[in-house]
Amino acid sequence: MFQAAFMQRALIAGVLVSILLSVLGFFVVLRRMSFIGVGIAHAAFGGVALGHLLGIPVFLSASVFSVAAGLGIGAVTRRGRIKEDTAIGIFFAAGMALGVLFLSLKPGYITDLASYLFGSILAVTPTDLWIIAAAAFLILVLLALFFKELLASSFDAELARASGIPEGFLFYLLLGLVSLGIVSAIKLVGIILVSALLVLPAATALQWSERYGRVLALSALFGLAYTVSGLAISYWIDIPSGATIVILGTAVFLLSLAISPLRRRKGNHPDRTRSAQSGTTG
Amino acid sequence: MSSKILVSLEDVSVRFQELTALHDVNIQITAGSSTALIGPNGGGKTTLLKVIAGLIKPTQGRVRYYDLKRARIGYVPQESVVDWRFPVSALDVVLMGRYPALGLIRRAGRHDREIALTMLARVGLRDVAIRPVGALSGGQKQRVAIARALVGEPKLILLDEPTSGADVEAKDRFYSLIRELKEELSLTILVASHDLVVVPSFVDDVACVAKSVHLHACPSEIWDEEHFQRLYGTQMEAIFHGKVPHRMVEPPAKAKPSRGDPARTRNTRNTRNTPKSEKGKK
Repeated sequence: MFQAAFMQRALIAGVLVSILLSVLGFFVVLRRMSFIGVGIAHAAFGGVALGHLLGIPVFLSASVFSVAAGLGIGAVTRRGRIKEDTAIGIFFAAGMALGVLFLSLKPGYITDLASYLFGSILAVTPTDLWIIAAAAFLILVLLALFFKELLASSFDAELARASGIPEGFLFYLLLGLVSLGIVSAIKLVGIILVSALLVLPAATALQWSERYGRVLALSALFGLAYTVSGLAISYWIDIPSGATIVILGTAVFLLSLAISPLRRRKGNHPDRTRSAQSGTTG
Repeated sequence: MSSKILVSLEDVSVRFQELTALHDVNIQITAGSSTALIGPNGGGKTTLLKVIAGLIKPTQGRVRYYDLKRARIGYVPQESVVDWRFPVSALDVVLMGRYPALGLIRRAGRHDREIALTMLARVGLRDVAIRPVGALSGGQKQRVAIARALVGEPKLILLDEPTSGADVEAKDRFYSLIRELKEELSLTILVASHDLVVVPSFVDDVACVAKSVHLHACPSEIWDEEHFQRLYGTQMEAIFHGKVPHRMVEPPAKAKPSRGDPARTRNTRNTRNTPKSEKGKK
């Protein structure tokens, strides 16, 4: 089944994007930014529509929109005047509204609109593939460069800042990379479903390990497995690939949640009082 | 004390919108000193520590650091606002204290792990080094935070209410450890606490923080009614035992007889007559 060129492209794009989003998702889930991903993806719709209206590359216009939305949500939240969910709600709706407006300005019907909303992994062009590869390379290299700083500031932002790690810069960097990662995946899984691919692998991996290295590796592995098997299943029984991937991922997540070896410990560590400081002397 | 000055605050004021947290604070921290910041809750102790840690910019005034890089200040917050399900071990968290010294790209190596393990052993946590940090007790987490601060080879350690909630014995052990570490690693200590029982007997100086720094003196000099009232704004009854005034936290019956002075007085007025204690050692 992977003999046809379009299937090969779909497979390569799927592998790249799933690894990319899983690694980004590791930070997104740990920093409780999952909903930001949803907001960024929807804001990108405005960029998709603008690209169509002006006849410029959609990846470019969508990137501008999503990165602006990501950094905007971050900036508004960080100033502390507006709550994060409020900011996301506004950027989310504004991006979609602009999209609807731009589409209405363009006469005629946009055929591949649905493919941006729901994804069409089988319609990945060679150009798309190059763009995805370049984006994946850039994002993964930056994540690797700043990995330990990102880890420290994701765990405890204040302490990271106190020790001189540029925590604010890393926050915006991560938002920018997440935005870019989301845009590169939109063509494959669609605006509506892309955040699932960001969240599910890491959320599942966290059910299986409490060590960040393993969580990261498992996350990439789950993402990869969801995408490749979802793609295969959707091909065999002829159902939409994006939806298949997400439903598969959700099923594995729920199963993991049910049989996770960590399920009893999560969230309810019996926080023995500080009198447990006995043994301080040493 | 003619030691070198590490940090000096000059007319530092901090306001959060209408709320004045600190007003015209002037304080100098000399190398090798150990100072307790005492004062009521909301008096600005935490703010003062955060100003010194570089986490809060003063609204007015300035903070000068003398030959002291930010990474060489170890800040241990009262309670970290972190997700304790974060997939890191105690060792991982302590290693984060090494990150600033490592610089970009370089990962923590064997040398760093050895330092981290040594420090974990020093605070009595060698046995739980690879346990998920979330599975540790409150007191253990606190000591992980201290080990994390120490592996950065700090000159100055800022401790914010490190023993709140601990019983007197645990506090005693904790501060004994801190004092040992101070000597071993030639640290300078600044500890915020509203605890008047144990803390003052472990430090050389006491500074009282209630919006401004009221006085900066030897512990034994401050124990009179007027100062108490100025500091806490209310009449206070203190029960004393031992060399340095101790306010009993637990019912007397529970106190360790070996430490206590059987002739406890229940009269604040007697504070003035309390022997000046052997704290003049500096």
